[in-house]
Amino acid sequence: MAKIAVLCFMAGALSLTLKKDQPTFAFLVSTAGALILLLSAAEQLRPVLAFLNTLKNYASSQSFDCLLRVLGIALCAQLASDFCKDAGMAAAAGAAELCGRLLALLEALPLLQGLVDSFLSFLS
Amino acid sequence: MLDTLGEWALQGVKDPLRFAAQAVLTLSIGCAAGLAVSGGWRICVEATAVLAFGTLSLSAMMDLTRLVGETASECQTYLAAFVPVYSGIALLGGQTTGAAAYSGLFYAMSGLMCTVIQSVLLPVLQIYFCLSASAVLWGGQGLGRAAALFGDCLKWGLRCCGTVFTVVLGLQSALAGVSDSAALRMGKSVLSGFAPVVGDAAAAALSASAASFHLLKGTLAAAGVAALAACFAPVLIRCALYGLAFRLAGILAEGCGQSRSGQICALYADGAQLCGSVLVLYAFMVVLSTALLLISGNGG
Repeated sequence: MAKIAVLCFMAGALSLTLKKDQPTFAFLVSTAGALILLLSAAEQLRPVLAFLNTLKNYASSQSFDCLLRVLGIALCAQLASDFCKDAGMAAAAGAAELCGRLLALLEALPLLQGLVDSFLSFLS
Repeated sequence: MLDTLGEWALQGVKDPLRFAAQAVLTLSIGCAAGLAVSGGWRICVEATAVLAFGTLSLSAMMDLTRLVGETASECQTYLAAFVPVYSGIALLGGQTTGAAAYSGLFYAMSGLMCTVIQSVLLPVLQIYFCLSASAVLWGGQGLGRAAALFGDCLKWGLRCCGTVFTVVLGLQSALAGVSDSAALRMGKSVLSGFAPVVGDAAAAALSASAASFHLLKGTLAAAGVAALAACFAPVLIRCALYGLAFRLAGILAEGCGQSRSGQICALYADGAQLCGSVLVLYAFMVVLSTALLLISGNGG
């Protein structure tokens, strides 16, 4: 955690230094810092993901897979939107959020369809 | 016998355990997902988690209600073969009224109960599950109240069936208990009084043959009850375990801050218990009526 804090501080300081004269490089430094932090978080999560994989072999279901995909879409869309806001592109950020929400809705559609099919089979 | 008992236990335990594992996994991922994202995405991910859990729960309950209906139907098919044989043995043992009550009144009642379970009680239970899931997923007090209404209707239906069963059992007991014993005693006294030399021997032979038929009837009743227990036990274990799985999942959901999933767990735990109640009522009706015919003739 200390390493992550130091990395955040260094990336922030470098980005602020470059922002006035070289805004492009400041954006690249900020993006690189965010990606490095995400990669280190993913490394920490590796044992948890292995445990979930073991459980998934025993108790796999469509619901669980859909939920994981929606979570992945949410994280990617949130990240893309934050990158766009950092670059000063508010419209692109909004568009990225909208795309993410539409994709999440498409992923959740099989769940909704399964639920409606269950209702119809009961009520028929 | 231990292998058979093990197989029964496995049949009843496998699916609820699998469901419990899937529920814990889905709720844990839902909780982690809610923590990982922020802002508007949290609402989106939490709604998907509730939808995933609702779909999983509804699918499990759909299978359970179908299984309860099939079990009642299988039992009725078994009774179609068992009742004529058992009442025939009771008839040979001198229980004419008891046998008639068993093969007529009880068999008709069990058929009616099976039809009521499949045509009325289980469909009401299925509607209850659908409305409960809808009420939690889409909100609105109207859907919640509708689900509660169907739950109350089911409980009222079970109470009515229980009352009718009590009346039938009482009738069967009244018809079978006294008259058959009195008829057998009258038969023996007529024999010993009418035939001066061999009358006593004939009366003793009548008692011996009645006793042997009582023994055969007892063995057959024990075998029948054991077969019915084998039919009902795995499904009853399954209902109890599903109820327990939903209660535990509800505790986990409330602890993780997923109140909507917790609501689904509470409603579906009640539904699983109602499934078990339907089957218990039918099982008790069949077993107690069979046991009554066994007990009522043995005092003669």
